[in-house]
Amino acid sequence: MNNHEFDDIIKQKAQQREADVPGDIWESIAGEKKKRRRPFFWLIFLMCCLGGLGLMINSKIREHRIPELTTVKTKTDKLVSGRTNEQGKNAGINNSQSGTSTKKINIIEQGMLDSNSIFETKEPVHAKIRSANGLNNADDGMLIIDKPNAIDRTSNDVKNNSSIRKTKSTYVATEDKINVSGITKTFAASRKRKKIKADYKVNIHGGETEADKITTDNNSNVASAVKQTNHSNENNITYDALVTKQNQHETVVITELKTSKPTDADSTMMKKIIDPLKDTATKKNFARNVVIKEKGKKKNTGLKIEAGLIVVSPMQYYDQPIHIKRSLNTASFHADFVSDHFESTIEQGSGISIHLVKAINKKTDIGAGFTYLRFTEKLHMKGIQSKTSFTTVQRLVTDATGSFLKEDTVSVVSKDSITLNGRNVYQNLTIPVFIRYRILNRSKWTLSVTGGINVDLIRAYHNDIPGKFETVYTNRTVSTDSRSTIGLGLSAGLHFSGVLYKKYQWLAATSFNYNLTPYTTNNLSFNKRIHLPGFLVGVAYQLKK
Amino acid sequence: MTETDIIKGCIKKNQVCQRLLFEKFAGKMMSLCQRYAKDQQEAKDIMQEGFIRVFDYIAQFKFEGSFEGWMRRVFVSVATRHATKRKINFSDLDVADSDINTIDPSVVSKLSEDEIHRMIRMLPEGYRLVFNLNIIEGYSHEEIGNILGIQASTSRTQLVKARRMLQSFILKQFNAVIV
Repeated sequence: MNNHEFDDIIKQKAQQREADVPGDIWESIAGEKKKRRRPFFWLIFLMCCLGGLGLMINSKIREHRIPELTTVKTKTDKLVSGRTNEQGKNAGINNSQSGTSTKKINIIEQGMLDSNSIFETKEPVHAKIRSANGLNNADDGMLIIDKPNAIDRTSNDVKNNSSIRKTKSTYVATEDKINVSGITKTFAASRKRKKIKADYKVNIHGGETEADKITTDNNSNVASAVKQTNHSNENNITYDALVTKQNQHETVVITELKTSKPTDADSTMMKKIIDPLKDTATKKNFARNVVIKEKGKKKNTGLKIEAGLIVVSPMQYYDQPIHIKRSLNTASFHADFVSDHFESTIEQGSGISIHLVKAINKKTDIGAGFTYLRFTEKLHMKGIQSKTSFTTVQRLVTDATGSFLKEDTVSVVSKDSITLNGRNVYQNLTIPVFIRYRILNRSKWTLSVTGGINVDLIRAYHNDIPGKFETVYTNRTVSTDSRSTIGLGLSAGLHFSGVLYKKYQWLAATSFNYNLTPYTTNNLSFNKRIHLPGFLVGVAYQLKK
Repeated sequence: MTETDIIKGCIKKNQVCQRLLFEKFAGKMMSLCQRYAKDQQEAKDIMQEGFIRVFDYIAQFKFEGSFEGWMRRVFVSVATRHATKRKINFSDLDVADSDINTIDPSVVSKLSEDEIHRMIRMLPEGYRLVFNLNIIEGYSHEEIGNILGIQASTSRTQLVKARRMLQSFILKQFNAVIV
């Protein structure tokens, strides 16, 4: 018989064989499948958190990005005076301007315009509008207009909903009678729509224009400043000049700026505009307003105390022992139990936490406090117990003096298969030290990411199974008594909070505490790491603004 | 329900189909696990892990070739991973092989599946692994070398010795040498 024949027969027989399948295999497969779903849940949860975080960071980056500029050629009409702002507003860009002129604008659909939104940009965007006489000479009266979204021109009025600025002294048109007026109306935010009142600034620098003179007189870039109080009616524009700074957009509107030589009336008007700017009190007022506004934007600064209830769903990882020995000694018996099967199920726990949180800047808080956690573990051990029972008996002894009863001890050894069920209780007193960075700040709520270190000051452990245990591993045997120990963990999570009532805030947080130092010095030591994913709800009280 | 229907059901994570698949192949796979495991507990562990892997990766089965063959490969990979966790001794043992080549095919054929299984289990672990992988599962010596982290030549040597030892077991069983 050659090897091939032999191998074929063996292969055939080996592959055909069907072994008896233990009855509990399917149950363990089904159970394991369920267990495997849990990490998936956490993975999905983590991915959602990271995705959300990414989106938020992305939106923040986009928010600060300079809007894209597009060069658009428009035509300028010969301006016809006497039309109202409303008419101009309806006229739109394209049908109100003719002749060639170049301006850079952000293309914004008219439908997006919102009277309460503001067009945000870090750098001014320029547009050039030709003078009223419609001359095509490039040197002829040009206005350069910042943020020129939705510029309307009616007659010799230029209405715009953005800042206007003339950057070159080219405004020396033969016809200098151009009124430049601005109205606060619709501003469209780039990608982000802010519901704040829009204000804007107009600076005009010109050659031999009144605007230039004004600039020179004030030795300032600001030609004039008028806070507009009525957006729809030009006649209601007041000349109580107050430069109101709001982010980068300053509320300044030139209601009437003539490029001709100034008349007395014009001078009076300009004086009214400019004088307050020189006034110290006004400046102080302005500065105070800015400070107040900036203060108003600050949230959650100062010191606050947070208290919350925690629910944790611990996850444990440990070395699987070969077996566990339990010795029990009483007056009447001595029992040695050796488990050959061991199950540990860690259960959900709960706790409380108190933190003090201090704002170190507008977006960042640091905090520390105390956290108390309690969770339990179910133990199930199966094995053989060898029990030696001692019984005192009286034995009849006969000697030369006669018969008498003598006390004696009889030991009976029995071996039984027994099951030990018990419950371990873990109690942790932890000092968490964390830093919290606000990634989303809304009027009603904020979202922060939190990271920190958890120092387990006390790790108390209690086992309710009597006896002395030894846990036997392949390379060592651990025999220890129950006692407290300290530990260390890293934590990360998300923190939501919002205004509840006056100085009170609600808070909700998810966190994951990664256990760095295992629980090693307990009874039934499994060199166990217990990671603590958890959820916290609570309230915060603002101690100091 | 055909095998294809069961597999398709398993791809859709249908628990009834998973149970049916388990019942259909559990016996053969348990036998495979026992051939690789050092004891019954490890066989059960391999069995459990193998079925979980089969359910996890069943979508990768392309309905080309035998499903049982695909499943065997999954189980073998699990089993060898378990085996390589232990320190396997690929030592050489002396086998008296004077008359082994003269063993009658009819003698081997007469052996029951259980007897052959028992004899394979009696082989030293290194021999057994190589014999299982090469003769029963059809892996080449190069593949075995990669799986077990040994040289292909070692695998060949182990196989020759495993075969001789197995034949000697059979001869002892029957105590007969037929020309």
